[in-house]
Parts: sequence; C-alpha cells; structure tokens
Amino acid sequence: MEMQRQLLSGNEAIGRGAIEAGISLAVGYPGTPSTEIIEYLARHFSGQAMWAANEKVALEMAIGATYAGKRALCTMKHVGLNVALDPLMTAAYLGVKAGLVVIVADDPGAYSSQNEQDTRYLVNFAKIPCLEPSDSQEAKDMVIKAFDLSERFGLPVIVRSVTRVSHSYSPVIINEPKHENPTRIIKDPPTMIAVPSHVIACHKRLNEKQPKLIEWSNESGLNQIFKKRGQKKGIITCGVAYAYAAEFSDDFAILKIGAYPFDERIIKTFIRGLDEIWILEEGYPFIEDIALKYSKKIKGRRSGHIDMEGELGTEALRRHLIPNYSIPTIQLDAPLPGRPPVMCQGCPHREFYKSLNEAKPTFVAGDIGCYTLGAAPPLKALDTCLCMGASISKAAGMSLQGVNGVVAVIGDSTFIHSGITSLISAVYNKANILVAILDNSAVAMTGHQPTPATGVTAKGEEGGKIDLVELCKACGVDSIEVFSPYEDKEKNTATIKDKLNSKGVHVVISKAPCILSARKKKA
Amino acid sequence: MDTVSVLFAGVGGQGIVLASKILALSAFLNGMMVKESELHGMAQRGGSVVSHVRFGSKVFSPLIPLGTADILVSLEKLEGLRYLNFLKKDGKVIFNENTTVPSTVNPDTGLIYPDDAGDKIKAMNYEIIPINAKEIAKEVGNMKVENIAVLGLLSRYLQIPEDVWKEAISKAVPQKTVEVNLLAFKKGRDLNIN
Repeated sequence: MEMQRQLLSGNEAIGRGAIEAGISLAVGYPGTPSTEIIEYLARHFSGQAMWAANEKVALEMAIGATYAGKRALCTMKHVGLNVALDPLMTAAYLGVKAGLVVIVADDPGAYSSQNEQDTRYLVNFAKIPCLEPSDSQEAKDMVIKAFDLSERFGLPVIVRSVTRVSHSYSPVIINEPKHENPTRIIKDPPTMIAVPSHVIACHKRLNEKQPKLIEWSNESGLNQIFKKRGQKKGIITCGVAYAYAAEFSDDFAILKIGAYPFDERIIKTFIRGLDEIWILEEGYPFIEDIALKYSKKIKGRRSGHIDMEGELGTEALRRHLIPNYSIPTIQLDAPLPGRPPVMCQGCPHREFYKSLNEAKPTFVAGDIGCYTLGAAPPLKALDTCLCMGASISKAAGMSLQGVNGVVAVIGDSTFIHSGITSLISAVYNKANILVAILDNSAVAMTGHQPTPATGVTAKGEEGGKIDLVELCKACGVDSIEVFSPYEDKEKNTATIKDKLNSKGVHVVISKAPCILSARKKKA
Repeated sequence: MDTVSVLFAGVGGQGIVLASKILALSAFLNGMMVKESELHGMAQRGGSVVSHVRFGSKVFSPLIPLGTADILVSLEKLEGLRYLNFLKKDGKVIFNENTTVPSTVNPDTGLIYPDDAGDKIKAMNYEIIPINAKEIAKEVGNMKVENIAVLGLLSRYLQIPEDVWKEAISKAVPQKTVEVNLLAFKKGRDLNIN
C-alpha cells in the first residue's frame, strides 16, 4: 500500500489513532479544545462514538466497555477531568481489564475556559501514566502507544493535549486499523469491586506498578535527549513547548519529556556539563519543580524568567535567548479598541437577557456556555460564573441566606450536565429561586453538538429524547413555564417578575434554537 | 530557514479558520511541511481572531514568532492594525477594506475606531495591498466567500501553483458552493492593483 498522508488537526489525529488502536467505544462531553475528537470519530469511525451527559458519565461508560473486554477512548477538556476525577481515582486502584485511554485537553491561556489548570498534577495524584504529544503525528502515535501501555499495566492512561496541539494542523501518516477486541465478560471481585476490604490490596498493587511505569517510560523512547558535543546550554521541555524550543535546537541541547512518570535521572544526565538550563513547559512548573532538585541554575517560572500565568507561545523563550531581542512596535496616537467575544446578532440569549434585566432581579448566577457572554456590557446581566452546573446551587445557597429575587441562568446542555442535581437540591432544601433554562437545543459554544434534549446522537442518528419540562416537574419544582424569548417580551418580563416574587423553586424555559444553527439549516 | 509564515487576522465569523485551513491544505498538497494553528470556542464568537500558517521544508513551532510573519492577511482593518507586530520589517499586508466596529467603541469607553488603519500601516513603511472583498462577494452573489476572494489575492504572493489552490478549495468548502468559491478566488487572484 502506498504511504498515505493526511493533514490533520491534533484532535483528528487523536481520533485516527483511536481507530488504528482498535477501539470499540469513544465517548466524551464537548469542551474546547477537546470537542473535535468525538466529532471526527462520529464521522469516520464505523463503531460507537457518542456524547455522554457529562465527563464522569463518559468515563464510567468507557470503564464499562472495558469490562466487556473492549478498548475505549474517553475525551474531555481539562476542567472536565475535575468532574470525572471520582471514577478515575478508583479506576486506577482497581485497574482496567482492556485498554482505557482518557484524552484531556488543557487550555493554557484560557482561550475558552474558566481556568488554565494543568492536568499533569491530577495524573500524578491518580498515580497513572500520561503521554504528551507535541504535534498531530505524535498525537496519533501516542494514542496507539497509550492503549498498549494501558493493557500492559492494567491502568487508565491519560494523553494530555493542549489547545495548540488539538487545534493545530500538521501532516500525519495513516496506517491500517487494528481489529477490535472480541467481547468477553470479565468478573474478578478483588479488582472490580471497590469496597474497604479490597482497597488496601488495590492500592498496594497500584504502588507496585509505579517503578515498572518508570522502567517503561525509560525504554519508551518518548523521553529523549538531543545533545551535540560541546553544547553548554540546554532546554528541558515537553508537549507543544518542544515545538517552540526546537527553533533553538542549533545552539541548545534539548531534553524532551513525552511520558510521565519519568525517571528523574534523565534530568541529572542531561544537565551534566550545562552552564545554562531553561525549562519550557505549557501549564504549571511541573517538570521545573522536579528539575530544581538537581540544579540551582534552572531558569523558568520559579526564577521569574517566564510568567506563571497565560500561554507560553513563542516569545517566552525568544525574549531571553535572542540577542538584541526586539519586536516591531505599532505607533499609535490612541489605544486600539478591544474586541471581546459577543453574542451573535439575533441570538435568542440576548432577547432573554433584555427581558430578565427589565424584571430587575436582585442577583443573577450564571453558568458555562455562550450565555456567559451576557455578563459583558451592554447587557451586564450576570453577577457570577464559576463552573458547570453551579448557577442553580449558588442561587440556592444565596436564597437560603434570606436573599430574595435570585435567578440562576443555565443552558440546556449544562443543565443536563450537572444542573439537575442542583435543582433537586434546591427543591429539597426549600430555596426561593427562579431557574431560567436557556434552551437553544445545542451545545452552541463548542460548535453545535446535539444534546439528550434534542434526541439526536453524535452521529446524527435518532436517540432517546429527554423532555426538560417533564424532567423539571419530576424534580418537584413549584412551577414551570416555557416561552420564546423573541415573542411578547413584556409578557416574558411579567412572568419572570411574578416568579421572582414567589416562594419556592420556579423554572422558566426560554426556548429558541441557536441563531447560527437555525441559519445553517436554512442554507 | 525557508519557512514561510502567514498570519490571518480578523473577526470571529469572517471565515478566518477556513481561509487558513485552505492555505495549509494547499501547502500540504504541494508537498511541503506545514503547521497551522487556530482557535475555537469562546474566541470565535465575534471576537478578535488570528490563525497562524507556517510552511516550508521544515517547521517546528505552529505559532509565528512576533516580527517574523512574511504576510499579514487582514480581513478587517482594526484587526490588521492590532496584529501588525507579527509582521517582519519588509513584510506585506493583504488589506481587506472591511470595517466591523467592535462593541467597545461607544460613548462610555471613549474608544475610537481607527478608520485610517491603512494609512497608519503605510506610515510604518509596510507594503499594503488593498482589496474590497465584500464587493467581489457581492459580484459573485454569495456574501460568505469574502475570505476566499482575499485568499485569491494572497495566492499571487506565494509559490503554490493555482491548480493546487483550486484542489484545496474544492476539498475544504461545502460541495454545492465549490463553484462560487472558485470564482471568488479567481476574482481575488486577478484583481487589478495599481
């Protein structure tokens, strides 16, 4: 067969790698920058590729697939791993019975996220291995390696991507897919049932795997030293930062870390004879803190040379390493106006927020999605935004302190992700709040993925359909009303006002399709 | 190194991601190493957007270092001015005459839209190649192909054969819009510049 090459994004390459590794299930929850992995698989994988209600559910489904002897891929963004951490931690104790790879895409610089946390700390916490690619080809290769690694050690394996890997295109060599594993139902209570009597033994097995993991990473060839005779300066790097560091490979020796946990002796070997050592890693100073044990000459974040916050980009290193570094300055007589993201022209959320503002609520707790943009001027409709599903719980917490007129604003997908349990808790504890579910029938911000409320699957096929009204009723809310944000806005305002001044948990569903998907359908 | 770097700047929704993808695909189909980096999600909702494309025999960083881009493709005037510091000293600006006033320009902020962005760029001694791509989009009867008309003009300054561009466009745009996109590309490529 002629060698076939394709131009793939990191996310597409991860999807391709999973196909070549012979997966039987791919499951995730949308979240920038991880979303396109499941989207790619929904289009190109003949097997199962699907969205779950949230990341915890996705990981548990993937673990279930491994109990049938199948390989499973699970995808999420960095903050999604917080939601899925519960099953991950104990899955590491129990171990897995077939390949389980979790892709976690970090967002350094928080281009589309509520924080810029570094997944490697959670990997360390869970005592499991992690591979970190620097471009699309490595992303594909490492996903395949991760499945082999997972089965060899019986552990879930994380592949850490970042925005600039997931959303960067580069050429990838395409290979033949491996066959899927046959179905075999596995039962083994001591390694499948996490009860106190099994835990210590499980933990001991997990700890016993640690030195073997380091042996594996030593032999994997993924932690590499590129050093020429006589080089006195070096850079220790990993992931996409390797691509920035490699621009200096003529003058600098490079240690590239691709597999965690790694043998710390490789750092000792690398820095021997070097006068100047830089650490370049996207995220927090994870490798740097290890390297600092072996040398005081380290330059990086801890030394103040590189910012502790934000994306590294190309300049973090260039400004220090290029002699007479200067960049062109733009001469301006007045500051340039910024251009923050805004809600689209004709967006149904805008119309809802206008009605909400008219009703003059005391406090509005927001959530994660396009509608978070309602916090910006001129609407200034939100007072807080924290994490997925938190709007309803925060509103309830405030209300229970005697504050009246508190509103929670949450999207349809976020409500399903983690708003339902918050709503139940609010009803149970007799909060007095209004919950506004902005139902645009899509996960709009991440690119219009379908939700369980649309009854359409990731592959565009017919799935089960969740009725939000019936769901809220079953949660025991005091009233529920559905309106279109475009029609009869005065009445909408009156409805909101009325519910704001009533005791109990009330729900309004502002229902209108996302204007972008509506326009697409028309075209 | 022979790496060519092209930065696309504009407003989310203008088709920056598609345009940069088509350039990356053209370079790839032409047998070169290429890396392209773009942003999705929150960043795309009408905000300021950039995409990086680098190609040649060897490419490491997917991001263009400041002050090294060979060409800045400015789909919107203010955004072109904003990202000018990516351009190298003798770099070119493909300058689309599009004005999209951001929400921050209002009496409360006192910020002013730089209508003279083009003059400012010229005053800094950069070569500017103007295009009114909206007019071309109007002519061919599809307002969505503004970005492809700009690509047409860009293609004149890159060593990639026209046929390869056409192949890339045909692969990247929806099947039923291939023809109108190719027409917009041609009109951009054949634009009369004085």
